[in-house]
Amino acid sequence: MANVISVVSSKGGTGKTTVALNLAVALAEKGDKTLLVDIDPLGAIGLSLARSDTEWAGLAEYIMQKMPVEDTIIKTKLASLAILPRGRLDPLDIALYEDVLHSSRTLQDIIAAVENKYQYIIIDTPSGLGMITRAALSVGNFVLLPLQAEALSLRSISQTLRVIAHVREVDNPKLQLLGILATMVQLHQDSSFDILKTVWTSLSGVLETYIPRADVFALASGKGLPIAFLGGEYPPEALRFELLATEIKKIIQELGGVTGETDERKQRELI
Amino acid sequence: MNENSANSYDLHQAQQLLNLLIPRPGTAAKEKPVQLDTPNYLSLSAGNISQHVRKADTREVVAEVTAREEPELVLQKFDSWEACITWCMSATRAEAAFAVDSQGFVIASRGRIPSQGFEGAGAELICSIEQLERIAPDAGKILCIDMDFDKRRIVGFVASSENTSLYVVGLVAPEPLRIEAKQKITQQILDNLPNLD
Repeated sequence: MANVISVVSSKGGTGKTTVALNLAVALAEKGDKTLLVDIDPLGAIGLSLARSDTEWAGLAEYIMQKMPVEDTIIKTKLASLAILPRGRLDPLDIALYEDVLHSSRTLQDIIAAVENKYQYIIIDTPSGLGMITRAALSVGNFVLLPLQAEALSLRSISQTLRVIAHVREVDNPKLQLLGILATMVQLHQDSSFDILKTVWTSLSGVLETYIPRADVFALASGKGLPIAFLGGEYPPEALRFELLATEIKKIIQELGGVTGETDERKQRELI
Repeated sequence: MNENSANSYDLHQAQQLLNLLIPRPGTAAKEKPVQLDTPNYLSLSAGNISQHVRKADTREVVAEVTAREEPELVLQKFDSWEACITWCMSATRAEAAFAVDSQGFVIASRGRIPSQGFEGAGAELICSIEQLERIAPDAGKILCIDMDFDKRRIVGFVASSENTSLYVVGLVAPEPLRIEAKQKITQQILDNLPNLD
């Protein structure tokens, strides 16, 4: 059974898609079979990979019963990573798409159909706490909350936490918060540092790993690649996502999730 | 120097919620039970909005509501329980709907289905109807059960006739319904029962 992680945030521009994409890559690079699901009506994952929003069939086609879910999943050159794209959704139909995802069993059915094939299913959600985010929270075991290191993001964090707590109480008792992931951190800048200091000192559940703001993300986005796939010297930000993947796997293990590994080793002799 | 910004982050509620959400070692939740403050949010639940609109009542609003309700409650023919509960959801603006047979088995469901499904609710509804009819044995058959819980509202329409088994159509969080509307919905289901049974 897969660990289903929804990446959610009430505020836009906190790096949800970047986190979802690069975390999925980092998990897959560790050999864990990972499915990245794009339910954002914008189709942000496809756009991040420099694909036209009419190139890939996906969720929209599944909803319209044009394709079975298995046929909508795209294999990548990274053997352990697959992507379920948003599909060729007409932007004029976004309201209908939101309604269908919220008021039907579509997401539950998709997860049920694929969860035995993957260890991790990462769901990239749109900004805000609307119907699609609620639908994602209703089907996941875990939720990851990216927090941009700036004032507005910090001031709105209670809204996201309130919705997570509500969904857990009413719709999905198995939902667990993995933690708050600070993103776009600029420790050399006073304002960003002050936010992070406030977060570290005032809130629990903040992950040890944080994601810095760096030009490499814009570069990767321009090339339509995850940062670990850029050529040249391996970017330290890609290492951050490896650390994030390790930290998340550890938390999932502590929370009773199935990671399929115990890291048990035989005793060895040094000399 | 102006220090207005010194305390611009009120994270008390955020931390309370985190204590609730992350009961892991090292968090306050382990030290003391979580007591959430009641935030001063305004609830815009369907019932509240509806009451507000009707209190603010203008003739246009009433006319609009009437105009919306009347055409939807005209006689319809359904060839499946799916079609029937879809119509019930649309007519009452319910979040979800389900139909159960006399044994309490769910035969159709649609909408925002809770994670535990409707199996339990369906079985309990069937049991409850039998119990409730004992309250007033001379009052006839129960046609509708309207339950207001503190978190949501559930309405069950009972459909049975001499020639068919008993069925219950349950609606979750529908708009408040007038008695005439309830009777029309029950009649609608009853009229279609021969096609659905």
